[in-house]
Amino acid sequence: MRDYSFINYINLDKETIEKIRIARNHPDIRKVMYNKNEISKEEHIGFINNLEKSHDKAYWYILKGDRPIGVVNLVDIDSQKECAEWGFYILPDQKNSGKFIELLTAVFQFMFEILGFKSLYGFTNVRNIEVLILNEYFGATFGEKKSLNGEDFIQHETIGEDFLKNKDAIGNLRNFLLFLHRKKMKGKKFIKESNRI
Amino acid sequence: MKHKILEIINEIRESNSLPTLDFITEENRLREDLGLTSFDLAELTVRIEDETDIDIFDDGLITTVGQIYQKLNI
Repeated sequence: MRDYSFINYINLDKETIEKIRIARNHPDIRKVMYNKNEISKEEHIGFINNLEKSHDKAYWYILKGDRPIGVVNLVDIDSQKECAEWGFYILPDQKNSGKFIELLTAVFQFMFEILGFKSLYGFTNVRNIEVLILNEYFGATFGEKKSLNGEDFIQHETIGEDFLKNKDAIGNLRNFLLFLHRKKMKGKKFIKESNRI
Repeated sequence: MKHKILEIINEIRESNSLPTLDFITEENRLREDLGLTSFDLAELTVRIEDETDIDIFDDGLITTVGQIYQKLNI
């Protein structure tokens, strides 16, 4: 969490809000969203204004030091069960930061340690393999599939207690690479064995 | 050291079933020209750090081979 800060959208100035709208409309971001439409200025401002009144959703702008790096949000917040659906993206101009494990570790720490959620679930497009692998690495279990606008999404859930027990190991990029390497090896073995049949 | 960077990039490309390269230029973009993914950039970081003790992504973005050379002062 060191160096990372999470600023609630309702506390952002107009200039930053507009920067977020531009990033949200970037084709790389839109293609992984449920709503793939371009968001107009009016819609975006209306959305932020509604957030101020909302108790079941929240959005944060993530900074590393002074550098804006991504966005994380919660919707359908259930304060009784202490769970919510989460979503996340790295700003388009920050994709070459090579720091996604550190960043996601900070996000989960913020959600589970600071905000005190017990579990977070999300839906990822089945074609978004890198994000599915990242979720698996962060301890998610996978559930049902759902279709939306002709695309398939798979549900995943991460339990706070499990993450917090292992956060130091999980946050280590070398452990992620080891995990990835093992996964690649398993994939190669699977292909080899499938070819034998 | 530049040769070592090429070697690392080629090893990562090979593991992704991409052909190895005879040379890279400072203008080469890591993603678009060399075909590296986010996960590959993570591996590149660690491999370079192992060789040099320098975290190339420590204070920002790296887009091109030239920016890696700059970080490493080579």
